[in-house]
Formats: sequence, structure tokens, C-alpha cells
Amino acid sequence: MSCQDFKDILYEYVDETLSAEDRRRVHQHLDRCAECRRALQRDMVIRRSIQRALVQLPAESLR
Amino acid sequence: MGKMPLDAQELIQPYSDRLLRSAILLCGDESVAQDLVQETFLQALESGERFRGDSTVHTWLHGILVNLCHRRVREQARLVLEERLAPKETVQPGPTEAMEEDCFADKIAEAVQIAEGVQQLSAEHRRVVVLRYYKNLKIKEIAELVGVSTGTVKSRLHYAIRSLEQFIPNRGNEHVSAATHNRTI
Repeated sequence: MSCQDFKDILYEYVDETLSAEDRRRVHQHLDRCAECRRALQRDMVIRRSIQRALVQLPAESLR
Repeated sequence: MGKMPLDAQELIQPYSDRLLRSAILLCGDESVAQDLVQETFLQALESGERFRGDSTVHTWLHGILVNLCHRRVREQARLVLEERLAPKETVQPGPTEAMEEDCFADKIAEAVQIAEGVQQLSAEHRRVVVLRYYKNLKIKEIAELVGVSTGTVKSRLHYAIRSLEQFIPNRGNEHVSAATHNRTI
């Protein structure tokens, strides 16, 4: 798996909608690619930051 | 359908861990999250007779928690603003307290900026951000709901995140190691 392949399926990986085989390939890639591990880490930080921000928006803007 | 548990232990025991995880996610601070969960249970116990049973107990508790968190974030944002406008106090907090307050204040300031950024997104970009990060839907579910391909959803999310990323500092202390990434997702 290349870094681009991983980036293409990052959301599906987080969603746990990948097949067992694809998930295994992702783990193999992450084991040897620090850059993609950082991308995954960054995605988690972004997710938490946006979730914190959305909580304070008025409910009508979140529909 | 839910049914109001009869006593405090019956209410707290099954839900406290899940609520604490949600609270940490929502407010980003574990000690504040613990306070909010406690407050949620207190409010639930006080208003238990008003629980109509038309949702699960967890959904009901989660609703109370989100409202409390929402209120707390707004109060904190107001305090941060007031503090910035007020003259310096003569008694300064200790180093640890100051660091914790700074950290929480930074997160609030960051959240305020991101929230403003979200409101400036186009309707179609804001919608996928809300569905993804507020409603916690999967890419496939968003695509079905919005009526576009999964590729379009990802592309809109990608654009929206790039726009919001300028407000999110690149923290290096949340390390994902090769050995632990399986357990973090």
C-alpha cells in the first residue's frame, strides 16, 4: 500500500468500514510509515477540535 | 424505549463511563468532564420524574450532558473574554493552576475560532462537517443522506478541513505509535 492509497481510504479506516484484508494492509503500512501515522494522529486532533467547536454553535445551525 | 432507573446507583453505574468519554470529547478537559458528568447525574436524579421514556436512558442523559457542556463552554468563553479585557489581578495563580487554565482557555479560544470558521463555510461544506463531526455519521451514511457519491463527501470534507485547519495548532503530544494505532481507532 502506498501513502496515497492510505490517504484515499483514511476515512473508511476510521469508520471501520474496510474489509479485514484492507485493514490488515493499512496496519502493515502504518507499521512502517511514520508520515501516515502522523496523518492519522493529525486527523484525530482535528476531529476532536472540530467536535469541541461544534458543541457551542446554536442547534439550528447544526441541522 | 427507556425506563427511568429507580435509584442513583442504578442510574450511575451503567452510564458513567460512556458519559465521561463523551464529556472529555466535548469539552477536551478530563477534570471539567468529570464535573459535567456529576452535574448530569444530579440533574437527572432531580428531574427523573420528567423522563418520559420515549428515548433510551443513555440518550436522555447524553442530552443533559450536551446542554451542560454547551453552557459551560459559553460561560468559559465569556470569562476568557472578560479576563482579557480586565486589568491584571494582584494575586496570581500557582504555576500548575495557571498552566491548566491557560490550556483550557486556549482550547476554548480555538473552539470559538473554529466555530466561526464553520459558520463561514458554504452550506454544502458545513453540512458534511456537521454530519461527520457532530452527528458522527460515516462517509457512506453522509453520502446517502446528502445524495452524492462518497468521493464528493470526502472531497467536501477535505476542503472544509483545510479551511478550518488554520485554527488548529499542530500538537505533537498526542502520539500514535505503530504499536498502538490499532487500539486508538
